[in-house]
Amino acid sequence: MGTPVRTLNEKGIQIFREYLAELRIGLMRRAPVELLEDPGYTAKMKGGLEVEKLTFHSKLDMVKYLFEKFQNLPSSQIDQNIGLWSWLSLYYFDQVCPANTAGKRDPGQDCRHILDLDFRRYYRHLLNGPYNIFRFHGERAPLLLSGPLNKPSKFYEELSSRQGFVTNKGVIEAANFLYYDPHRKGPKSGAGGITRKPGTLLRFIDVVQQLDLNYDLYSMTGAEVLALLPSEFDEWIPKERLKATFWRLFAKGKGKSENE
Amino acid sequence: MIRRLNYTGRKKIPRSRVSIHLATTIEGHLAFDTTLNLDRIAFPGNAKIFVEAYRRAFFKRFPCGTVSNPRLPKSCVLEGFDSRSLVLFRIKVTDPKGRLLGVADKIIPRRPEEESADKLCLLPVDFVDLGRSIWRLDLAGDPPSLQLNKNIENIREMARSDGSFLSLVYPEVVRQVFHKIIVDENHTDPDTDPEDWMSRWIHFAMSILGKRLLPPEGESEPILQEKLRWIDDVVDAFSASNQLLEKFVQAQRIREQ
Repeated sequence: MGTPVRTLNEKGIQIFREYLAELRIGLMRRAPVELLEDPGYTAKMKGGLEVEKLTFHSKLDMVKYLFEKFQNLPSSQIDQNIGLWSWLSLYYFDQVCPANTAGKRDPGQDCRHILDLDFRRYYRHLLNGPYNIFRFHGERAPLLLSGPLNKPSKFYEELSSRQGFVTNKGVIEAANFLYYDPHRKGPKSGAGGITRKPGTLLRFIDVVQQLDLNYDLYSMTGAEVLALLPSEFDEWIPKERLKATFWRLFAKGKGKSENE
Repeated sequence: MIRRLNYTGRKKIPRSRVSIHLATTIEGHLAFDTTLNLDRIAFPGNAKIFVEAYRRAFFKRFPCGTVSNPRLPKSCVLEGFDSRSLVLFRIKVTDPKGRLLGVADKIIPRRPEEESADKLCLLPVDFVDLGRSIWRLDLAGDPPSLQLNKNIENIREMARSDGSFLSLVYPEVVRQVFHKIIVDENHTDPDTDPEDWMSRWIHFAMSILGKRLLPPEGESEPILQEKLRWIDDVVDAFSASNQLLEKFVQAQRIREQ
């Protein structure tokens, strides 16, 4: 049986924030899950929505589940609802902030758990950030939606933090084509380093930003963006038999996401 | 001083040629109208026009025909955008192969309550959850925006016409914006890129100072002091031109009655 979805109110968010601060200084406290159904700290969510405490194997699993749950509600009630996403974070806290073998939790910054709409931080929310990616790209962005909920990858961080990248279907398709490994179900190793080695993620970002000055990249498909890239990216292009997998993936996702 | 070079041959579409008006539909969605004048900008007739609306992870793109046969959006709904939140627009003109021929970016739309259509909006307003704060200036945005706490009833009306709010908040906003431009960014020449938000703010300052008085240039300590005095003068001129002292006194009188 599911739990009716609620939204944390200001007092609830404050207690959640204090709890995160306690974890950061090394205190081992139990998550304040009693808030989840307490009318003093939460409000009912319209629409009679319920969620279950499932274990998600990846961000993609999580967003597909939540997307289906929220599909009948207006996006204005969902997308920027701070109380809702903070409530969901507390509800799935064992997954967005799992304890290590010693029982300690490392929550990181508040914005990973309490939605912060500031444009420098909104994408960092561990549930809402991936949800936005899925809302925009459907299943065509596995590079950004692979891996456990509590671990945003370098690819997620670098691409999601740039509005001109994360909202551009052709650019995200091209990045997936170059750097996603369908066998590992994650990024190819060596592609997301912190140096600007030829053909790697940071070079991809530099080159796309240059191309953006001359081309209307929003009008292009992933294949058209790839065709503009210089030869340094050739070594990341998948082998012939894998290419078809990608084109099928990109075609399959078409029409399922927003803006199409 | 910031110098920007354009090696691409891409044309800038002046903001004065674009006007975007926002409205809220009966269903509560945000909708917009666009007017665009591309006369005497040498684009080929078959060049395509696009309007893009964006905010954080929200993005919508509208094909608008060609230069010779434009079909600009009228009452076009922006689903997914919060009706009170800040949304920016971009106009693109491209050739049939997707090469950019012209752009106007970071266009701040006009809302129905903003009457003066000939004026350019310098400070977009965003309604967000600010917790216990009433307002905040987001100087990291491009352009900066005034954030108002959406949980306060009538905050939009207060920010437009409440004498206390106007007289206490906006001079501080002006001061912070110019500190960012003149001191932090050392941007003092509005002619380097007249379409840039910082240049537009400096033009605004010069218009209220009543003379073409550029901010001092340089980073030495005496120049810094001169810059701070220049900012004081701008804030004073801003307060005078908007009669903020009188509005503040009047607001207090009304409160006492």
